[in-house]
Amino acid sequence: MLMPRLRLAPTLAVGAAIGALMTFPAQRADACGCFAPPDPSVPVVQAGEQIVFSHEDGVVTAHIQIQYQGEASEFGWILPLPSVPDMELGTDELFAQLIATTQPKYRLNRVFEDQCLAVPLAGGVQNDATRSPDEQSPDPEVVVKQDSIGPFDYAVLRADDRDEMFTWLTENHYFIPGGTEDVVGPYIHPGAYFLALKLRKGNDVGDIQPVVLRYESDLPMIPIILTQVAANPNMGIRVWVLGEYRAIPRNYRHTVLNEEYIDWFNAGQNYNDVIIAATNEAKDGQSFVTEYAGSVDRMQNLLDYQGRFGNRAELEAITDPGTYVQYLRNYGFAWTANLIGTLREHIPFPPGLQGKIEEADFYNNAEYYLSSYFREQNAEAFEGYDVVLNAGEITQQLWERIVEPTQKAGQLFRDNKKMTRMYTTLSPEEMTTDPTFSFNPSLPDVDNEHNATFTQICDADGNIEGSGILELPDGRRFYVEDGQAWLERDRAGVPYSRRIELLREEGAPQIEIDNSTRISDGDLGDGGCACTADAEGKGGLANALVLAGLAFGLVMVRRRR
Amino acid sequence: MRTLPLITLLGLAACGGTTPPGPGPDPSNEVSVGTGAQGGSGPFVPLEDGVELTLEPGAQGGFHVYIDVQVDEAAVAGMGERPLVKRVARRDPAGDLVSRSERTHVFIPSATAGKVELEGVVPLFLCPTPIGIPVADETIELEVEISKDAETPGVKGTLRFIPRCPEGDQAEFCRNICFG
Repeated sequence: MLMPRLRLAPTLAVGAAIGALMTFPAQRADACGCFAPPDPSVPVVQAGEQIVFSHEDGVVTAHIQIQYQGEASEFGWILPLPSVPDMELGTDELFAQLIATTQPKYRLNRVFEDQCLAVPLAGGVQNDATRSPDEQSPDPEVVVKQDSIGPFDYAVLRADDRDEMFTWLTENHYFIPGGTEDVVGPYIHPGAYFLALKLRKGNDVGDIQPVVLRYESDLPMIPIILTQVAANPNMGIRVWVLGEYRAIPRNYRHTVLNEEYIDWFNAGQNYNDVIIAATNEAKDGQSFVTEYAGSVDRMQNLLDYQGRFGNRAELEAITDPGTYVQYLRNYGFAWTANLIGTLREHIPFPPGLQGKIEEADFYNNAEYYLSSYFREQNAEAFEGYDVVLNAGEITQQLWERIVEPTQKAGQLFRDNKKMTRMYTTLSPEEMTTDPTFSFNPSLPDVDNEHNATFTQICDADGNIEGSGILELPDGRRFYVEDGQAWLERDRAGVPYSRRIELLREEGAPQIEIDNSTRISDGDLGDGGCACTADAEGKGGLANALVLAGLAFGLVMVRRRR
Repeated sequence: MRTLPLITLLGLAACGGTTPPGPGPDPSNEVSVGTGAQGGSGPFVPLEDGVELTLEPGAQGGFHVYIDVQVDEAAVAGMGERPLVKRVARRDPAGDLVSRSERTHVFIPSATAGKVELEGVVPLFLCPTPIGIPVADETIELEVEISKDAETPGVKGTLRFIPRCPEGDQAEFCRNICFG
């Protein structure tokens, strides 16, 4: 199911900004407003579309993060649906938490030969996730439903007739990108519907938040064909599917990566490039990689833990802006663009602070700037600034926009046992088939954490050299001069995918392409007993001799001890 | 709740391990699988094995056939307000699974006395097909089981049919996604 963003963001700009602003209760933002550094073991990937599906008793629930960059007046979004949906607001925090808990991580554990004299302290090269973080009246012929929710005006339209639908959208100022009419054909027929969104007057791009749709359907689907009119090359598409079992791409292929291409020395920073290359090896470039499949336990109590959001009655009784904001911070409200936007509506930026601090800084650290301490220290800047908060109204908005969506998102992880995170990249010319997702009860889980080991070599005197032996999670071992050499290693002809599979709704994967004979065995094989040059000839005999010498040297060093 | 079937099984084993054929209709053929009249929205219409069904376009770019079922009212009497309807469709004779769904449904009285049928026809999702498995122009065997819940055996019925792509605007798109 989903989504032609009518003006598609080339990057994750909105989502990234939201994610960057987000602060969780256990990691409160400092008054300086600094952002937490990103997790160095997490590859940076910019996804164009992010969707969370759950499916129960014939009803699909889709949480859709709309990523948009452009003018608010040009924001428009349409989505074909098999039935009239129930629509609610979602929360960006669901996506932020899912990304954090299921993100593929490539860690390199450095070890040193026993004889090494000085083992450097951890740091600099160790990639450890723990170090860090991350209005018009409805037209009865076309319009089924027309309403507003949060920052959006929306309409559910009958899609019986393309011209009628587009005419209505145009007349009602829903932005439609050029080319949409050419690809919308498969979705236009009796009994079909479209959901159309636009920003309400007075709302800005920063107010955009995810939407949640519930509709009857046998299987979750992303109507990617529609997206092609506004998509960028290699646009990322990430989906989480929740359910009883591991989810599969029903009509796309499935790729298992050749991890030899991962930049292990830089926490897999080239991950997205590897994904692009690997999925492009599949027919028509249509293949997903499973990034995680397993229990939902890791998501439980992250969004809706007991006591979060405090007590609504207490909050409604607070009229002092500083006290109010402090309460939000104390009770786990995430400092998202959504929250800041709501604060901005009710707590104006003090004119006296203009030119002294940035407005964004003020709202990011509002409890500090509105504290009595700061106000006393900067009394001049607050002259005439007497804001009496309409706590009832702002609290109502916060509950509608943040609290209830977050609590419902949290419920997803009590209602489902498993979640599967899948990712692919598609270019417009590859968006010819709408990916559909299903389940297979017999497939194993997939871990999102990948650990390799780099054993650094010492010379005869015990001094650590830059080179060493890299052992991949699959046991292959390579002699590596350094991280840069690993990245620039000659891998001509070596495929990026280890396997390309067809996943069925039952049984084991059907392997379509097995590249195990084409990918390198590793310079040192999988047991380190011999120096084997791979079939593609990386270095040939000379390298083999060098490696043989290296292996011999290692043995000699060991024996001397 | 899980212990009840186990106790029943143990009881049967103690009696010699074989179950004598019970009275009444064969539970494996108690459900009639058909469709709805008037393009899928009307009352139950029985179908015969080998029938050709047109693949109807779904709103999200897929194709399905409309299915209805009819069963003796007595057979579902103890299954609550919304019995579970399991549908499994396989390509014959290869046996490839091409569609599977489980969901609860409301049953309403049929025009035929003593029978009930689904409140409305339901789409059987077929396309996009599982990758590499054609569905259109293939014989599909659909098994429908109606039960109280996922753990309780129910009554079953089957239908063998051949899905065909529609003609007109949707024909090419159907061919693209229904032939594997």
